[in-house]
Amino acid sequence: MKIKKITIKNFRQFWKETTLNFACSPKQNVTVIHGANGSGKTSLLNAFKWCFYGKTDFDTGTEHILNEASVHNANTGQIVELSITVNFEEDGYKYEVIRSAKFRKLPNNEVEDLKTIEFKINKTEQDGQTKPITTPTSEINKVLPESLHPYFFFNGERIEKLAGVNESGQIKDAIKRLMGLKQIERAERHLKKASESFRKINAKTSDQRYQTLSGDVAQMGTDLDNFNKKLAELKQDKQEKVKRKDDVEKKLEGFKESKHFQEQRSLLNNENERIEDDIKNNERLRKELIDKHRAVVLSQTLVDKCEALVDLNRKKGLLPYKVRAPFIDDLIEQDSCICGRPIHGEGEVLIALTKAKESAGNDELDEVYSSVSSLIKNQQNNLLDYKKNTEELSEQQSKNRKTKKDNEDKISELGLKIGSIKHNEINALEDLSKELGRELTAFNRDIYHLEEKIPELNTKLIQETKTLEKLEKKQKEHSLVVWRITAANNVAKAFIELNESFTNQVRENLSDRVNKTFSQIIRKDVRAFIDNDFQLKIEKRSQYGDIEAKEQSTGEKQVTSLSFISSIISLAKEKHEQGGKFFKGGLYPLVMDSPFGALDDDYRFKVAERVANLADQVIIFVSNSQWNGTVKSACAERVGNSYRLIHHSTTDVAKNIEDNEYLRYSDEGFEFSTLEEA
Amino acid sequence: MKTQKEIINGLTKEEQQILHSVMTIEQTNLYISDLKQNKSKEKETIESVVKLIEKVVKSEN
Repeated sequence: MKIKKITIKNFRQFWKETTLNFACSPKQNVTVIHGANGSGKTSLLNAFKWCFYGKTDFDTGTEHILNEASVHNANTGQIVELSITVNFEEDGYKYEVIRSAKFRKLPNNEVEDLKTIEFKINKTEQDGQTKPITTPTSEINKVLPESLHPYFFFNGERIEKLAGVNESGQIKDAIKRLMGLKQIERAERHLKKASESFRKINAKTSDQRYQTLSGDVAQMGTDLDNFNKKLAELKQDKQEKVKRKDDVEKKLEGFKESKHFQEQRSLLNNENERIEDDIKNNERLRKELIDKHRAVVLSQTLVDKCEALVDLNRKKGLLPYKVRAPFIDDLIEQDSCICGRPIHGEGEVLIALTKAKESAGNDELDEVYSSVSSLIKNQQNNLLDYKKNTEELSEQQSKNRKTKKDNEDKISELGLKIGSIKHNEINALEDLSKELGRELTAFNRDIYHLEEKIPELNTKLIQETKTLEKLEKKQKEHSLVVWRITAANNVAKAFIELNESFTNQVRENLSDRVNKTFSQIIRKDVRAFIDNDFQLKIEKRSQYGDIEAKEQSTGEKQVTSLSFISSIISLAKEKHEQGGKFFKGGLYPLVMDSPFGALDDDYRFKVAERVANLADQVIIFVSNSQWNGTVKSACAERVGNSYRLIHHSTTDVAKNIEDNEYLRYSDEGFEFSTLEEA
Repeated sequence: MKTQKEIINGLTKEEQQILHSVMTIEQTNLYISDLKQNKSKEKETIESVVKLIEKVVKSEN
């Protein structure tokens, strides 16, 4: 996908019509749009989202997207149109995507949304013929699936969340979609359904047991599908709520009255998130420890008995003491006792030594004895280790639970303080934050229940399926339909294996790519990788080996996330170019708003230097200060097009300012933004 | 973990044929973002898979 241009009319800060052309050449693939805060950078990013999917990231959604100046300039009753057109090329086809909405001006500069959103796509074939697409929503999803757009059109200020994201399932899902591996999952599902359909035919001529069992297996399969679907929906809804809550809390930080309280609350919430991770990790470690030492704990009674028996037999002289028989033989041969007295071949000394030799036993017994003693000793050490480790983990867990509880109390207290501030906007935001918090609790509860239920049902389904397959094996010789069931099941199983194998292959490949980009930028002795659960992790080297680096700055998280996204894009491109049967891949652009926000000068320079290599086409919106600083010098060679966002303001500051690149005085009576080629 | 080749070679000739043909069927629907929601399309796809298996597995051997 190569984005050629975007035309914006009456959208947010952009009054009338303005067009941006994007750089597409391989050598100069970067387009930069730089401007002051509030001049419309985020609006430009959202212009793409609204045009393609009819959605925006703004807190008010799509409610206030019509430009105010266009309303002021219209007569009462006049229709005002808002539209965005994006032109792009994909696989040799040219696309023109147009979304428009109409509004009617009411008295007092109010507007009525006529709810007449039009969404059109015109596609020009390779022979030059242009046709309108009858299913534009599906068509845009073919080129750039909506669920994947956050990976290509993103707000740099939020990107760091990707590095700490716990929703590994979501990342895994997104990667599978990008690589086209979703088709393998679908194939498996459809083969299972086909097998169910053959089973229904087979049940007609089978006994009651088969009929009941095949019905149960089909029902469990459907239930499992529904639960998984519900779980995915809940997780997505939860993520949206989390995002909204973050936005609300960020706004509370914007008011001087609530700033301090909210900042404290955010810190405590972040600490509690970390503690929750630690608590989960601790539970996992305890489980592993119990599994590893299960035998040690269970066998302790036996070992105690064994030890008592060994001790008793040793006292009785049935088991050897520490003196070994060959040693006594040597003493007799050398005619000298251990105390220095001569033995002279007879007498009391010789009798005593011969007796001691009998109880000393032979080498074989000695060996068994020392091996049993060593095992008992090891067992005791293992048990001590186990006890010590579980005590440490329990202590850590109690400490974490207590800190979490204390933090929760403090968070409630801060909520009360914010709620008591006499400020309507703050109160409304606080109420919204509480409401979102309640909704999130409900989501977490539902997610927890489903996550408990799904594995149980899955285990039951596997067991019942095995029984059903055994019954079918007996019928196989005589029935064509059972051959078909078996073939469908075998191919479905092969797809499951292929899915696992490809997923692992993609994970390993991405992991290498992430680390390569990451290590070129990051200053510390750390490495980035994607673990088996598809979580993006950072490890640092220590004297005890590699350990997880949990504490990363926002800037470091941004670098991590950027490395991750660029790795996905490059792998998707490689798979697309290879054109394999199982992997589809694709060519995706990268559109980023403020990707350098939290980076220091060094990281900013390194990221800017490599930004052109992150994707085939890169579009970045940056603040004027960042652009005129290190960013421009680092990536200037790769910049094909560059635009300046000019804010037309009605303030005295703007009136009195002379020759400012980014600020001009608006004598129209309202504020708006324009774009100028730089 | 088995390789792609090992997994496919573990199937009979007929099953391999089914695997490749099912992939072709799925690829035509790849761009439907959520096939599970599109019930008639999903049903149509399952029917195609059933017909394909009936066509490939014709005798009891």
